[in-house]
Amino acid sequence: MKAVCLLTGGAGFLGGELCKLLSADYHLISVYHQKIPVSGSKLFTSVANPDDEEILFIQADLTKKEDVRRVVEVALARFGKIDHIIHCAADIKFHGKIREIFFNGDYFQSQFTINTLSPMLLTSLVYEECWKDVPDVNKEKNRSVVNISSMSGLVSTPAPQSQAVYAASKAAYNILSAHLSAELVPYHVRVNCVCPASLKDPVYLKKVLNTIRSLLTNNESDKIISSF
Amino acid sequence: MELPGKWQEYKSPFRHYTAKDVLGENEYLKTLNAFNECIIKKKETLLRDGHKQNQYYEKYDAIISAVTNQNIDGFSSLISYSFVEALGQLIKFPFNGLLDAAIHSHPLNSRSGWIHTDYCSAWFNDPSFNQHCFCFADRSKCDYFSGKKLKDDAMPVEYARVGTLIYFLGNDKWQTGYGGETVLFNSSVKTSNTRTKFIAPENNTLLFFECSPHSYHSFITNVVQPRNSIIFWLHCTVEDAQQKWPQGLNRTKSI
Repeated sequence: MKAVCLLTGGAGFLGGELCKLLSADYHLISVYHQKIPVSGSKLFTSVANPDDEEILFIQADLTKKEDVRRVVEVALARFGKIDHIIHCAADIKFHGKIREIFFNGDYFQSQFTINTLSPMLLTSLVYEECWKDVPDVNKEKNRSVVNISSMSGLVSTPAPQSQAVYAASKAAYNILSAHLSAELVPYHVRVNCVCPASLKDPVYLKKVLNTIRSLLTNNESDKIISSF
Repeated sequence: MELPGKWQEYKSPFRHYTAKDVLGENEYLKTLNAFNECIIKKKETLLRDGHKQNQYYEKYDAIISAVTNQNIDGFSSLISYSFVEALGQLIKFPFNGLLDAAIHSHPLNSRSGWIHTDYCSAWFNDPSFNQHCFCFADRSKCDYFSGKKLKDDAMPVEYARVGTLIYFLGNDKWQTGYGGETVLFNSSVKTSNTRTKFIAPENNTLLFFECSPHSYHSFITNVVQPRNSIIFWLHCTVEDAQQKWPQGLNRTKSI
């Protein structure tokens, strides 16, 4: 049986590209929320032909624990295991300036929840339901987590971009990933973080995609990768 | 060897096993007699040494008496080499003979314990390995948890706890609400979302689990009657423990 990869943000730009890249080698579970997988793509075809699917699509709001639970239950019911998680889901908006947060900061908690807490909730439940008591199997399957973070979480950018809260959520995501990596060492589950900049350049995008794919198969752990 | 009694395996809150009807009637009574004799002797010793009634240790209220080569005969129905060997096979750690065993009697209203895993260093003094013979932890030579030398000629060697067994006996008429259960948790901190399971201290039943970084459990106060048990731990080398759960062992250094 092919390895099973749970991908969040599956209908986003990077998520969609990862679906195309990985669907031949992995059983993919693609989680999406508000944005629907685009018409005419390979993704949409899979939805239309569920009997022939290579990708299992699940719509879920990963800020809600009951949805996180449903995703894991459906994935395990369908495939019996989860070998890898790629967390792509994110609120990537630059909502405003931090100096104005008193008046327009309602987005603060939701952006942190989506970008920082939700991936940890999902990984925590997969650990509980699938990885906890089987370190030998985890080692054999080379199980891993890839957190898609951002360059913004590593460096402070010029003020006009207004990305303070987004950047802070990604910085928090990076440090949580480092702790998670240490906590999962006894379980033989690897955790890494990818911190890309803008993905508009196709050559750069390809490098990022290949880096993510290689993290699933190699032995890297506890790495924050930002140079491509 | 076939495991005695009726066994069940459970996945939640972490993988563990329970069994009932573990010993036959005569074996149970023999074990219970040995248990009672040891507890009476130990209680007399503790009181003579100035311990307060019902508060014998700083954080743990049970009267504890070690099972060793001197008194193993009384407990041999339960603690047999072939049985412990079978337990090792169950958790895929071949038994090496190293055992730490004791009887525990919690007086009425013993304090609830703290959540812990049992997955820690365990120090044996210059252990010898003879085929099909137990090597018990000798706590008079070195501290079992820290490896601290208690005698000049001590030669502490570090191992790791790998399996915990709790056998319940002498808890006649126990009912739900009496307390004294062993509680299993799926996390190190208890909240309203924590998965828990209460293991009743019913006579002639046992709980067994692999010690791991997440084998969280604790004792719950007993509010109606004393709670009695025999507990023992299997051990493996630190290297084997680290291979299975890298960096997961709560290690102590010999002092």
